[in-house]
Amino acid sequence: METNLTSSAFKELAAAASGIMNPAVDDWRSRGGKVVGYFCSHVPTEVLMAAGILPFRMRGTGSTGTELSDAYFSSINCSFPRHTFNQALKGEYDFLDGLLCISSCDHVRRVYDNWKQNLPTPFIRIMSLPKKVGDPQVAWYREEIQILRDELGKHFGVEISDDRLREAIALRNQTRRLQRQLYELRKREHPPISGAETLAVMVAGSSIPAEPYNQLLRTLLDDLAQSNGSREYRARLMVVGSELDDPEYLDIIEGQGGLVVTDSICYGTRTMWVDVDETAADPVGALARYYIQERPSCPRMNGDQARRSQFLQDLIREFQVDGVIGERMLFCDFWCAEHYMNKVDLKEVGIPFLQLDREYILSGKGQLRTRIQAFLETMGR
Amino acid sequence: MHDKHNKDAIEKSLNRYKKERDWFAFLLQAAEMMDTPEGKLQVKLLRILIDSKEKVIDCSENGKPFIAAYYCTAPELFTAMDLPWFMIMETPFLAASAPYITEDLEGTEEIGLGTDLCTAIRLPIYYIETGQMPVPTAVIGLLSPCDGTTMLQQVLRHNSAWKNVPLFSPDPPYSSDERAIKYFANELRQMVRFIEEHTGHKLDIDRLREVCEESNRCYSLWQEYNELRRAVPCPHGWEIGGAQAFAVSQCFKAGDPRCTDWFRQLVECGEEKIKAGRGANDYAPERIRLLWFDIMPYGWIFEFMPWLEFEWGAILVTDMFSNFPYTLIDTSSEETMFHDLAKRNLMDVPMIRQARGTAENFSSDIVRLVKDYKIDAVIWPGHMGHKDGAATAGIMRATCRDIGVPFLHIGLDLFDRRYTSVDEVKDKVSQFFTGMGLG
Amino acid sequence: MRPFDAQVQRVTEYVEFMRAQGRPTREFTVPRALDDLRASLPIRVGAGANPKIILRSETHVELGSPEAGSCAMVLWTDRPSMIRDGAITLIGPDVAEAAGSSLPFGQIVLVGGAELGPDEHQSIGHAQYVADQIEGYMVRSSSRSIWSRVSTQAAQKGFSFDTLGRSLMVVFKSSLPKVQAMEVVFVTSSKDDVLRLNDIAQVASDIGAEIVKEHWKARGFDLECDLDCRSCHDKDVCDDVRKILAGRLKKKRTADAQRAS
Repeated sequence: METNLTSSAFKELAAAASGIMNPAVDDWRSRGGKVVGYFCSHVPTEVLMAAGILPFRMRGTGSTGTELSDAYFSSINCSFPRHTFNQALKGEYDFLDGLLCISSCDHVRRVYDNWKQNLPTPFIRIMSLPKKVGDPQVAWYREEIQILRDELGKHFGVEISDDRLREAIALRNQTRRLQRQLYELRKREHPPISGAETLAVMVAGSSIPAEPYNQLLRTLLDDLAQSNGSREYRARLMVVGSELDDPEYLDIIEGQGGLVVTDSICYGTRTMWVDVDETAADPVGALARYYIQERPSCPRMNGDQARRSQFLQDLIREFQVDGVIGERMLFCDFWCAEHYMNKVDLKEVGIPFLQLDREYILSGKGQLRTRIQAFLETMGR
Repeated sequence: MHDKHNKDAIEKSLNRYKKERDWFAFLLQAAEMMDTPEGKLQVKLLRILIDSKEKVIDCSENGKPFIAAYYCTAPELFTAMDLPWFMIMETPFLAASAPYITEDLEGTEEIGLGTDLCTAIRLPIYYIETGQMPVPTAVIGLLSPCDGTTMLQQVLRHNSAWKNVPLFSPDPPYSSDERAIKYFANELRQMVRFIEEHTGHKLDIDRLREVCEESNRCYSLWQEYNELRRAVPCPHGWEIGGAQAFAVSQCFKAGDPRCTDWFRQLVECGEEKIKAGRGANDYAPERIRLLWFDIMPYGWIFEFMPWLEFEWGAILVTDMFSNFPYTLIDTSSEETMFHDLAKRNLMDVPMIRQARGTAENFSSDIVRLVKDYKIDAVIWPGHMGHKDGAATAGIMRATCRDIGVPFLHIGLDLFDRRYTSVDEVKDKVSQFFTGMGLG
Repeated sequence: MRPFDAQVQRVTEYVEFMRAQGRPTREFTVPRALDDLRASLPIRVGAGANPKIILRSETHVELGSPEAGSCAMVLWTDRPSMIRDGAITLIGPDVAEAAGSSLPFGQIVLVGGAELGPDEHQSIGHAQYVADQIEGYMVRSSSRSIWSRVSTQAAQKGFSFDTLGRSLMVVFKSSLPKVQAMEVVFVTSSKDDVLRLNDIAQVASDIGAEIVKEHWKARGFDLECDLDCRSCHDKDVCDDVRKILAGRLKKKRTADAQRAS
């Protein structure tokens, strides 16, 4: 990823995003800290934090192939779990003390089964995520979170009190607020930070303990407050999609003149646009409501498409977006149908839309550049 | 927005549906010429099917309440509420071999749906988007077994003609314990309230009891029939059996005495043939007893299944849709009925059972079926839409090796013959049979 | 290994409890040696002994239908001394007393063998589904329970639960040589009595599921994997082997045909 940012905070964050392990995790572990990996932004990481555990969002970063995981997945399975599991089979995730999966999609839920059978990670669980966003589903998920809390407590020998949960929620919300401040800067006509750089910062946030991360963010925000963005661009773009954790992908888009000013992706606004209610008497209930009803949802959650579409349109307005790129990984049914609908909705409001199918590991860079150039041309930019 | 009073829109939405009805009417004419007990069964089945389609057409044309729903959303409830219903996804299962389907498949690509999306999902989305699906009074959505079905409900909701059609989708939890059953039972209760509110049809518990008891009789006869197929030779081939039994018991009007009557005849027909020592057909004696461990290849069934029997004497003795646990619905109280309906629909019904379960379901099912049905070969079609990987070809292969039965994994699209051509499939199957010394 | 020893003990306690409750309980002691067992039977037992299915019209008694209630389990131990080899216990009416009826059915098979272990678990479990191995007796192909029929013909030959117990012993001991001791308990007294066994059966089933998972793991499989020929690196080799096999078979057939002529 190309960058002109000289901020040392940014350099540290970008380094954390460029690999799986990073110095902050090393340091955490050397002080006896436990690390639990998790898939999907619906996992209530606050519960892990309340147990004194570092939640580590799973990625296949650095993977060069799926020769090991191919024996466990089909050729019609998404490349994200295939690469991530391949990294695990190679030992890149041996540092985990646990793995928390969730019934998010047909592809990722099989990671739980394969992992359980093949890797000796001591604590492995899968949560049942409802498929709707109603009150009975909040109640169900509240029970699931409570079960998780009990199981974590038993396994790791910690008491996860309501107070500790509240503290974790508050800390996580701090992260969300700081991240929103970062995004605020991107509303400027000349943002001081690019989409690729922002993604690096967001990805880093999923693999660094919250307190040092928040401190780095504050430093970065201070550094950026003084600078003016000098990058020239042809159009302001929003990227919409799922598991995108590779800043180089956005770098290629921005290299063609399309500045990514906002997003709705698994590492972006959907994880931080709204806070968990800190005033609720029942912190577990507050988490359940947040993860099922309050945060911007993804197409996994049935019956919420209108709200998601509105969310996109609000972001388009706030960030003065000129065009939207919908990215999805091959064989992802959720985003296949979601982008089908996004295309219709955005056409109605006159926003150009480009759908890009991709594999988890960036390939076909030339083709990608060509498609972005063509998209910008058709936008008249 | 779908205008109930816009006759043109209603007519357009019914065109394809009527074409399907006519396709089955054509098949009915052909079946009526068959003077065999099997022919009479086909006639009865087709009449039940056509009747259910006629009811939907009548409701749509005359503004009467009807719903879209699914076989695993407790259809006994719809029968008890005397509510006509149809399955949005029924075309790929019922009419994928109809001559006009290829054009529709091409249409799915033209509207921009990814070709890696399961065909069984793409087709209904295409019909919805092009106004070729009857718009019901309310929709009961399906959120399992796979990601594709969840998105189908959302696309439906997004469509301007369907946007204001009330929609309720029972939420299926991922776990399968008593807590999950109770949760799903509650979802079914909410579903009933939803239907009552939007259609005006009410649920009477005594009527539900009658329907559930009828459904139990149906299932009991289905179980009996499944036993008959264990006979050597098997009394029926692919034309009569699992797929039809599943459709009659779950898809048209669950808990209807006509369905029980069909099963009764099916069992009597099977018993007569067994007593006479007769096999599936008189022109192709049984040489290979097959377990087809998936749904049937509806997109090319007429080109493939008869060939299996003619060319190889390979009789499809049993398949995935025929094999399911038999959950009796305890009708002693409202609570037990909802509980058992939830259990049956969450965990037992074909395809849901397999997609939700672990590979151990497959392994133990195969061992049992091979033993009970004296299976000579197991075929796992490997449909492109089954991304959840509910089946594990490796486990199945190892299981079959352990019990000494040949196993074939193909890789195809059960609904779209363009994915893997029928000739390719025939070739693979022929090589398999030859290599294994079968037939 | 003794994963089921506690459940075996619970079965013993269950039988005592039923006896104490006044249920009619009968005990049969049968020969232990396989040949003696076979010789003592009024019906055939072995592969193909019941080649035809038993139709409804040919049924003397139906056992364990969903309406009547069913519970079945097989518990094994590597301590044969825990098992009363050759003992058959019947709680409730016998076959002859139940003509034309549909009885609730509990079947508990207890097997012991010093060399029994997790590797034998699945075979032991599957052995109870006897398919066509017992003349006049058919276990219906229902995945969750033992639901079976005794034919009228078999009943006329004197088929009883004693016969069934002996037959199961022949099936188990002949297909599983490591089984040294075997005991069978049948319950036909009432649906409640049968369903009372579910507590034990559920625990046994959960233990069994873990054993199965470990078994597949040890063989290098996971229970949710998606092995797909198209992603297998050895697919080409596999296809070639298949072609070679087909070619060889063709040659053999040609040679056989020439010899015959």
